[in-house]
Amino acid sequence: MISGKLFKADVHLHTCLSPCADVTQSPKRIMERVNEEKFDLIFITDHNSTANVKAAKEAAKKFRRIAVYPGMEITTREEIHILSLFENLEDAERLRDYINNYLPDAYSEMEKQEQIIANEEDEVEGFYDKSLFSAVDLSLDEIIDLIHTNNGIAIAAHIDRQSFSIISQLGFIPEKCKLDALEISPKMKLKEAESIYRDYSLKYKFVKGSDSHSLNTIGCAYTEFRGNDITYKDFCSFLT
Amino acid sequence: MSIVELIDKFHLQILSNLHDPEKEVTGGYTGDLLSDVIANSKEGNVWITMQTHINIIAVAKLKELSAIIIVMNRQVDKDALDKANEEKILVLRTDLPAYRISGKFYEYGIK
Repeated sequence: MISGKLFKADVHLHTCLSPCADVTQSPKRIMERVNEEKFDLIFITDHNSTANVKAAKEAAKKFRRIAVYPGMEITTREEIHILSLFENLEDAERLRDYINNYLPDAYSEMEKQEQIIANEEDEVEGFYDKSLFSAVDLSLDEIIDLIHTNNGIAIAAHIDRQSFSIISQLGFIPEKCKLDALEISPKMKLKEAESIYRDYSLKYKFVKGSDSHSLNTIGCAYTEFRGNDITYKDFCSFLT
Repeated sequence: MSIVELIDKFHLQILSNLHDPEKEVTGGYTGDLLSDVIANSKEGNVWITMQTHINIIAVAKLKELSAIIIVMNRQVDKDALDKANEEKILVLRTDLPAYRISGKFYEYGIK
């Protein structure tokens, strides 16, 4: 029996850096909503980059203690979305720099302008010049290994969705896959997932993330975990 | 139509062992989402795809497809080809994109 306090986490949040996210999804406003929804721990997981994590960490300082950790939703060559979650920003940034070499440059000015780098005061600092919604030209296994060698954990994103999920792209989860957990989308209940994906539930823990692209969806899904404190290590030990 | 006739006619490159040259081709299916191919391909179909993950071999086996045809000369991982040989799944390759090779097959009578 796991003891400790019950904490509320979101493993999947986009900011205005992600081209598909709402422009109002700035680090500052996200943290206001995260505070309202009483989250204890969140990961900022933009597509293939970490450029707005620092601003979210800064913006969080205005509130009660909320743990903000870096992450990325990485698109593999097979067009599978993998959440990579880290304790330290340096680890996440090292991996970002590496995988960005395998991404095309943004195809147009318009695409760049949808990838907003913001500061904690809601000001635009610049635009990201890689095509963040494109696939990184590295395989699923290579990406998972890279996440692990950079001290992160790898979670298959929204496995119940019909696009960009490991099951939609590959039909099923390969037996030798070294994933740390599986994420289900907000529309599926945990119990439902455990029955539909019974075989996978024996091997992996399921988590829920909001996959929020706009402010009103923050809080629509979350993961509850027990631990001693709101730290990355406590979150990881809940997964194992 | 046999698979070997198709290989000769369209100069397909053979990447895994050709166990059964006379295997009958019943039609074709084109797609990169394995969940879609599992749901909609038919036994004996040739499957045209740019997906190269090892799971393609399991899908071809499950659906008893006659061959997998990798498009645009994409590189196939060694572990996938090893698995193909183990499971006796034929993997072929063309330099054409999926639309072009599908069109050529269709024109030739594979529907």
